[in-house]
Amino acid sequence: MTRPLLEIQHVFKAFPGVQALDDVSLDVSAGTIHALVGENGAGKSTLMKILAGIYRRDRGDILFDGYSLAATSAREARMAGISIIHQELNLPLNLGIHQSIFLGRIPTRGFGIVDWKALDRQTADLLRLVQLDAKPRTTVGSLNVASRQLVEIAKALSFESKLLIMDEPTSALNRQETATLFRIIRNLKKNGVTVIYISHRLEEIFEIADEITVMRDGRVVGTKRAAETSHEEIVQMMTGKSLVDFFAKGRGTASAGSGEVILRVRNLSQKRLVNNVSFDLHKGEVLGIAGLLGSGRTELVKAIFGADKRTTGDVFLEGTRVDASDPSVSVESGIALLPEDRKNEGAHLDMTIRENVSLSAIERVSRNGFVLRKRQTELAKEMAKKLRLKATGPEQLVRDLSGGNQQKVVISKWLAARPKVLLLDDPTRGIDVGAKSEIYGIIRELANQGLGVIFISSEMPEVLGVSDRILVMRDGEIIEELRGDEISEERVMLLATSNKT
Amino acid sequence: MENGKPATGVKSLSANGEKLSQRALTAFKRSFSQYALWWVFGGLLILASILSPRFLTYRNITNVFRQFSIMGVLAVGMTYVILSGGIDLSVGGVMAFSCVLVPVVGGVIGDSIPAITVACLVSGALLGLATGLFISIGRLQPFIATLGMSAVAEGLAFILSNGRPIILEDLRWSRFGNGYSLGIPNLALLFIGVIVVGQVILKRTVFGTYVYALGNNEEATRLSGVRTRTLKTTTYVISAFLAALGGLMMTARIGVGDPGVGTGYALDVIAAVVVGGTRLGGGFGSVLNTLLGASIIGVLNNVFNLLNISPYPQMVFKGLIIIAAVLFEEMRKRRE
Repeated sequence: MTRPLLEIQHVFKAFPGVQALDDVSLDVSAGTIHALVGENGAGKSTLMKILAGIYRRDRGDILFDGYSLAATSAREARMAGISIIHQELNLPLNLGIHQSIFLGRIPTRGFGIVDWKALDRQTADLLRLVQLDAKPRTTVGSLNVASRQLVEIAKALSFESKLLIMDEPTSALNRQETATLFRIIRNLKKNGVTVIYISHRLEEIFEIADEITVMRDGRVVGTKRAAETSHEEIVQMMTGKSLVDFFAKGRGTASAGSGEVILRVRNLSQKRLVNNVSFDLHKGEVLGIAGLLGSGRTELVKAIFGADKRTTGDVFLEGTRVDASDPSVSVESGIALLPEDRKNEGAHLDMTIRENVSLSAIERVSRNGFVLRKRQTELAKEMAKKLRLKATGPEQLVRDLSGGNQQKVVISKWLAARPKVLLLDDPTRGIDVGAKSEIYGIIRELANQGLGVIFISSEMPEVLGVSDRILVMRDGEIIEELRGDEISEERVMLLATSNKT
Repeated sequence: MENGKPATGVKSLSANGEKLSQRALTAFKRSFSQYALWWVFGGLLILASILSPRFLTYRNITNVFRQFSIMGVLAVGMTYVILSGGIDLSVGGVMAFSCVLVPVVGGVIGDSIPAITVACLVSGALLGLATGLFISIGRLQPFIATLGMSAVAEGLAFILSNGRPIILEDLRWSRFGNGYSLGIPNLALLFIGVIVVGQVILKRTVFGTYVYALGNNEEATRLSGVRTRTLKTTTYVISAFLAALGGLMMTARIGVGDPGVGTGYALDVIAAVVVGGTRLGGGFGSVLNTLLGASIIGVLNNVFNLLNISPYPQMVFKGLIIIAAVLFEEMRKRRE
């Protein structure tokens, strides 16, 4: 057996508060397609970013082609023969294909004068290699996503990469485009290029990969030959044992969610991201929406809230239709959204806790348009006590709080507004374990008080642990509703990762 | 300066004796940088009185006040716009429009001062409404929308006046504009009134709270259920309304409806706001900051005049001081 092209040996990497990679070892044989799978936060991206020179490892060694890899920038990694194609493509859209491929090393005839002929010729050769039928001077922005991806691959080939890392390359492609991409990947393999392929879509992985490595919680669970394993086995490896006790606080009673319907969503569509979604939410219920990144879960709650314009569909709160024109309408009628992006959409970082907390409930702390500072302070103190906020006082800037406490401030803002329905989009993202557990408790308490809660999380076990009922989303549609004993991580993952039918 | 609350920090750390001295030092440093501008202003006053014995005379001080009152009124409006994250380059144009409108409206409806005043203020506010709608509903960049409106308003002023200053027949305007009440110039009294009302609205009302929120994080404000489009539009209406008031004050001071008074005025106004410490981009600052900024620029201008320095170096200096103020702010942000 020949020596592997890539040998990762005992690599560690820590971020503040998280051990992102914990003794990771992995071999990738030359000329193979090696799939890397795992849930969000398993460490796949961190590992790939280390390979691509974006992060530096804390410990461990990486041998590439027999030499220790010490790339400290994406450029150096590329020169060494490793190219990464990110999920969100990084091409400048206003340039031509030829310019974007050779950006930074455009052939010249001296004195900075571009050798356009050579540039066109070299670009045309590359485009033929990836079977993209476009002229070298076409602007990248005029291509569809699938073609842009091929341009990225062409760019990687132009560096004579031996290892090509593809992160979720098919997430924006339809089936035909995916088939084309696979043909090209197999072609590359024939020409001796090694591919590391990251995807959530297991069916695709079984179609394309020779070997599959599963990661979980920063470790490698195992590597299997694709021909010798099954979809079920891989899902089991990905999910492992779920931490039952961890969610105890969030668990509802058997009768949770048997109350009357509080929110009715009918035929809701939002551009191409949400397709004809209908469901009911009950009083006292925590309804989980499970789905992968890009499944449309965030877009769904944003459309319910009116943050984005709906294409079609209606939302009824306690039987009354809620006009979708503006978030202010939703807030006034009693719907609240805790957005996914805490720093940019949730909190006002450079304002005080006092100001943040009362922002959506200003009528509670004002009279005739004048803000009553004392009541504002009281409200902030009341909320801080209720949510066990760790802060020096109501006048502390939100920026100076930890992530978990910042999130508590945003939750406070909505509790102060006394909503009837609370939409939570990944409320525990980027916060530590203790605060997470506290937030589960808060969610359950709110439901017990009669609110309807919709809960989204990028961590599958969390959705399962906290929700009374689960809707599984894929490609903008709700494909299944699970309740009670039907809920299991394997089941949800199977549904969420399956291909379009 | 509303975030200069070192007291909170000091109180909370009494339990944590070890770090006390260190944090007290930080708190002191913070408050020093918070109040740095007041130190600068104080130093400037001392320097000015040493350089020119005429500086600290009653006559000179009231003169300084009268000179920067008009610019200051416009700067209060600009403060609202900048705090909310925008910029208004149309203030000079709107001021010129309003200035010319005084004799023009007077020629149509007669010499009723209240009627002329209302007509000018309403017209100004309507221009601001148009600008605000272009920005909030039409989603234009504030920079370009207000630059366009500036040309529109100034052009209208030149059309209405046939390009020439119109002398006011009614002398009551000049008498007011150059008169005193309680020993203080009337225009300065108006400015003080605008400062007080402006500061109270900003610091005490729901509207003011929303203005800060908008400048701090527009998307989070929108998702909090605040009607951000209305809010944004309102800041431009306020700015244009105060620019129109400034135009009335200008007419009263010079006794002429002059279409050229607004040229280059936006620079002075923005300088006053920015030098006062209000952050371009929004979220930080206040009307009091603007008073300070306007005062610093007013005193500087006065010192230059007292020392008989020609206006051209003054212009260079003003440009440099804006750049320095923004640079200072930028460096502070980066340090944090």
